Amino acid sequence: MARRPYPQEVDRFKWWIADPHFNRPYYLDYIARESTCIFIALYTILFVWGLGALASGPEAFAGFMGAMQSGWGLALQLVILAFALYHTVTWFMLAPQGMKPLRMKNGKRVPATRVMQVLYGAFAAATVVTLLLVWVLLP
Amino acid sequence: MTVQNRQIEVLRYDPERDETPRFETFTVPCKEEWVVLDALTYIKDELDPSLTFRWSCHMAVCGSCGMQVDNKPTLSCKAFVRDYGEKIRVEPLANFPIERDLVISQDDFMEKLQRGRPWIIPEQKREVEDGPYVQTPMQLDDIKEHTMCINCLLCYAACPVYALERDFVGPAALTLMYRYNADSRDAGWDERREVFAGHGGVWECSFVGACSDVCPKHVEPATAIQKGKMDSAVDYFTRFLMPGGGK
Ligand code: FES
Repeated sequence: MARRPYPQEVDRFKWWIADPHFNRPYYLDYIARESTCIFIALYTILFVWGLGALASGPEAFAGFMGAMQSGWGLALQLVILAFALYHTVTWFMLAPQGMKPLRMKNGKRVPATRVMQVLYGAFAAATVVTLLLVWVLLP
Repeated sequence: MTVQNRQIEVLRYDPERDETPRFETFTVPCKEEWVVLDALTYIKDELDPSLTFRWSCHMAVCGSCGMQVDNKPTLSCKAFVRDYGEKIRVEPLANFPIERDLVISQDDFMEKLQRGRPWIIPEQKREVEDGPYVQTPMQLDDIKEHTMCINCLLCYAACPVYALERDFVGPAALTLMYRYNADSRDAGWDERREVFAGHGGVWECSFVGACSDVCPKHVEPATAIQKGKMDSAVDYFTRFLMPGGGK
């Protein structure tokens, strides 16, 4: 009896739509998590644009600030913030799953929830420090 | 004992007759405590003896009975029919070539598994009179979950990277390699590096995480592979940046 295995292929572009029924829509979650990095890149571009404006003088910088403070500028930044938060939170959720177990003094593994707490704590601290800096430095 | 009729929709493929696989539906009087594997056994015994599928232990130990049950990679001996609907769709594991009906070809996995050298490669070989290689409970605990693999291949069926990139060594084989690399008694990193961290190795993984979700033994392949990436990065930098290659 000759073997004639039938190959099972997936569609190179549509594989993530045909998500198998896992406990979560893993493929969709994955695409959402990874694609939101585009918004981080977008903000980096805005940031570099701002730096460039700052370097080329007060007028250019005022123009940049004006654009950022316009309705469209604010809306864009809000959208970016929302997606950046999503990106951050989904990576935080993955973090305990992607690292070597940390050990407590008694040799027990540090639980995943503790790892998340530390991450969110650091996130909150960084946010507070940034806001404080802005508050102190802005005229 | 309650018996309920269920429609079992099975993907059939006879390499001698069928050009492409086709679905066939059987009505099976399922007892309440039945698993999908029992329903398939009923079909084979009572309705169509030609139905072909693998199984052995019927207790989620041997890893032979993996199938897509309602489109999810599942051990059919662990999937109670009462947890599914009136109609249950049973297909061979995704991403593997279908040999016949629900039997897939494991050749690709077997070849990759062997290339990974999944055994202890000690720094210094001990003779029998030297006694065993010892390990503390804590050292074992570092890798414990990754040692529980039963090679059922559900993780390969769940992995979109394996589906798209056939050179990918894949979740189970990489996890086993990590398990040995990280074993306190092992010194085989250099021998496994090419397969583990080269083309098709851990860096191919994009951390979708579905492998860990479908794993019936909680082996956490996704975690093993991410930890493997860390080891590979450290290895890379110590080899190229440290004088003497970190030796
Ligand atoms: S028959 Fe052994 S794992 Fe299902």
